[in-house]
Amino acid sequence: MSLRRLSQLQWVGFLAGGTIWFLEYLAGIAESQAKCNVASSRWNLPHDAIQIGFGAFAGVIVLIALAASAVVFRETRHHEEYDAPPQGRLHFFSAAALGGNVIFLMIIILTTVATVVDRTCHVA
Amino acid sequence: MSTTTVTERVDRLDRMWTARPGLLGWLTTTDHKRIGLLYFWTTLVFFGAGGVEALTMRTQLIEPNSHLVGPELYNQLFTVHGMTMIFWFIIPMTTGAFGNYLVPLMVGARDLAFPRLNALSFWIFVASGIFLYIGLFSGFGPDAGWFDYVPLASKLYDPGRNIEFYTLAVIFNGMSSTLTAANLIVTILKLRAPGMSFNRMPLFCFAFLAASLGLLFALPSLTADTIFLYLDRNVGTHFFDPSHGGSTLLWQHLFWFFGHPEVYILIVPAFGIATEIIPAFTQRKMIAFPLVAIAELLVVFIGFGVWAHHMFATGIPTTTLIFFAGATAMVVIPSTIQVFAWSTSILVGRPQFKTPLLFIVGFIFMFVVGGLTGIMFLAIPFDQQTTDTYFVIAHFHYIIFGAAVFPIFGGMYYWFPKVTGKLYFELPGQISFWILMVGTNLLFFPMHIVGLLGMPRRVYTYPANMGWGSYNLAETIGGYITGIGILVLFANLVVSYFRGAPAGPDPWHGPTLEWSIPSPPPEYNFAVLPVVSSPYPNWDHDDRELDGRRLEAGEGLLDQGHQQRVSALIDGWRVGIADMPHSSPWPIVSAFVLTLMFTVLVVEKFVVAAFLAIVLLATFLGWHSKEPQEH
Amino acid sequence: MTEITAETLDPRARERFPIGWWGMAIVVASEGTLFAMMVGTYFYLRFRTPVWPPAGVPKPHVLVPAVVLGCLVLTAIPMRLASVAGQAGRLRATRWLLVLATLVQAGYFWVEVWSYLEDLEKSTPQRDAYDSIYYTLLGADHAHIAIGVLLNLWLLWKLRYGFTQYRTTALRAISFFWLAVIVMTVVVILTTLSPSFT
Repeated sequence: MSLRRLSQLQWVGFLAGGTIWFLEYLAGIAESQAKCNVASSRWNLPHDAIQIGFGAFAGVIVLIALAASAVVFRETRHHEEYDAPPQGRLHFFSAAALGGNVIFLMIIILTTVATVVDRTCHVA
Repeated sequence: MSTTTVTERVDRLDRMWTARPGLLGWLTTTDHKRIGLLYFWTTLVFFGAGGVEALTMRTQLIEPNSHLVGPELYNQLFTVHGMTMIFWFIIPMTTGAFGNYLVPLMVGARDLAFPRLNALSFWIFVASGIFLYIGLFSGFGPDAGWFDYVPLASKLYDPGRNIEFYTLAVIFNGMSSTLTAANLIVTILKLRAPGMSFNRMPLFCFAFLAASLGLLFALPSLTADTIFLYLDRNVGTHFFDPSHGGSTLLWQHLFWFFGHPEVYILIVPAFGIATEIIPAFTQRKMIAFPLVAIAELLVVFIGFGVWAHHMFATGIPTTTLIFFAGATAMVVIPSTIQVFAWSTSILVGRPQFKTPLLFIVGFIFMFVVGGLTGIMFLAIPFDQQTTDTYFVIAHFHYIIFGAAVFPIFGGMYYWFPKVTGKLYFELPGQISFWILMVGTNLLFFPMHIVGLLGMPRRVYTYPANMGWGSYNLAETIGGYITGIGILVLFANLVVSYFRGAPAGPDPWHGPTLEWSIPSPPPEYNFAVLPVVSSPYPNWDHDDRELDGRRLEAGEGLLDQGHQQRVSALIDGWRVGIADMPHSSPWPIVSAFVLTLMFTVLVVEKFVVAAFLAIVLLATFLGWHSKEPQEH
Repeated sequence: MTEITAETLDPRARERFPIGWWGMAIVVASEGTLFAMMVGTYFYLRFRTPVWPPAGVPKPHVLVPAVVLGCLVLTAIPMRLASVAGQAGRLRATRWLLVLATLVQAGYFWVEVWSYLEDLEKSTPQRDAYDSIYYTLLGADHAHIAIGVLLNLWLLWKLRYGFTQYRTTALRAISFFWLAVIVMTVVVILTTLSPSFT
């Protein structure tokens, strides 16, 4: 694989997971607020379906980011993290992104499952 | 090129970079090291003030039914104590003092990217602190808690000028922090030494990059919030007034969108300090370098997703709260990655438990204790039981004092030889650590118990029959022991400054670039701008020998002007040269005008404030009359 | 031993933006977040208020704000062209493009301030939370337009004596600032007009 392609994959792996988690997170909160607030509750949003949709879409993007990181990590496995760029930098970012994307995936799964299982608009 | 010629060129560098002598030199300086020291001394004054406030409160609580201070003053004390320690001590001590002094040295630069902006940032910071304390000493200190909840902070319940001092001081201080953050970000991104690609950047710089990005994106939320509150109180708007369509919870959302990332902004620089001290005193590189680097960034990034875990008791539906609980659960993972990396690096290295490393070990312990109680709060029912009790105070003091301030103390000892050129005395250093370790745990640990027993926070006294007296007595004793520990620490540093043995350039065999130059560093930092091939460049002897040969050959001195090399964003290649500004009177003049503007806003003189805004713009014209070039 | 030894600029590097531009990018990030918070506040309050705008408050007019907004958006073109001309060293073209953009932007500011004052005669920010956020959001945006116009005027004044690297960097930074302000203005105006779309 060319260095240019690997570099693109490296940035997808490093940036896409975090970005999509934060967007899914904000959208999820906004939807839950719209569902449970007095004024917007009359819209009757299908909460579970929307949240599952958000979670599934974000989860797929994070998996893509994870796969991109894994490919770059594998392609640069003979390099050390301190090696000269671009190979060293590719290896470093892909290793970092592998860790980060697993965390993002866990947050998305955790919150999606929890908000669907939880009694909608219930106040603890 | 002859040696004499090189010496002359280095002398020329020295003349070009040396600041004006005397007081005027300090008032107009744009040198990052001088500004770092100014931050250091100023933040220590505020630390002292915050400490006196804390001890006054602890003395008040030493026994039931005490009336050393009345409820009004007590309200102001705990509010100003919180504000001081967060906004006027830890943030300016980390980003302002440590960041200013060390980041350019670690990335191999001669100054920060925007030196005059750096000076402005410092003078705004000083003015904002004076502004806050003028409020306190005139009886109008902020008094609704450091998070200043409405409706308590609304005009109806707090009709004095106290909250004006809060809103304006916070906005004022936020401007300073934003400017410092901007400067550190651009310096780290654009002024790195040749070869210092992201994968070769010291972890300290990752931490300061993370903290600066956090400040940049968190502070606007607080600014918006405080502007809304100022308008509600002084113009008559209704942002937080439910009777006119506003919302009291809006304050909390906006505040905590800033406030929780703020916690990570406070501790991540401490992580960075730990990642420098551990390699130096174990003589081994940090394990899991990429994971620690990403963990420093992730802690702040995910930290933006946890804000409403401060609002679990406000009646928000769990449908929404789950998102915050989920993020709170997962932000533990990057923190834990770092705890394991620090611990393992110490265990598999050859640790020398000198004072700086002792403080880091103490920090790890305190961070784990504070972290474990933090995890407990993500359980919504537990959080609701302990909200607004001393359990919360215990938790966040373990984090903020244990995890943020302990590494700052460790960092003071670690870089003391670099800044002063003297070694500190080791035995008193270790004694100060143990006194502080005992004192802080005695001070904060019983707060867990007394909190679970139901003692609410922010009460100025309590009845005798609650069973809280002995715990409070122990806490107060712990508070005074902590105070003694801090005095021993600073007494040691002061005596060491006058009596300490010469340190030489590298007493610890430190890993990063600041240890490759004399102590204290020359005005121009590096005679030859260094080349780098790892995050531990001072241990790369070939590179440092190459620097020596380049100096002998007169290569890379950049002595044709007050110059700094500019590097590419990602991989650190050299891409240009920038002329850096010399000392300038405009930053302090602009800060003075801005201070006048904020002062008249307290008393709602809007027309005068508008006039001063025009004067401020005029000072910026003077500021830009000199044009440092970028080639 | 490192692979970098020479003092010449590295041929692998392409410098796209000077550090002055990066400084402006950071300012834009901070200001953009501030506007995001204000827009978030608008919708947060809206979700909680059954009738929005509250009874008795007319929905905002769409036509005039949309037209003048369109004019403002178009000034992104001369600002960008001025930046390109500046980098090519074409002083006359840079000045004229800046003058053109500044005139339109100042015109936008004048129309908007006039409209703002006219609105204030019908309702005030002291009436309810809707009006509070409406006037604050618009006021903050207009302040940024005013700052942009002042920056352009300062730049034109600086360009009296030709180009320096400093002024070229300032031109690029201010051009970028305007792009950001235009994007923020579009978001703000669409937000304030949103009740009229439903």
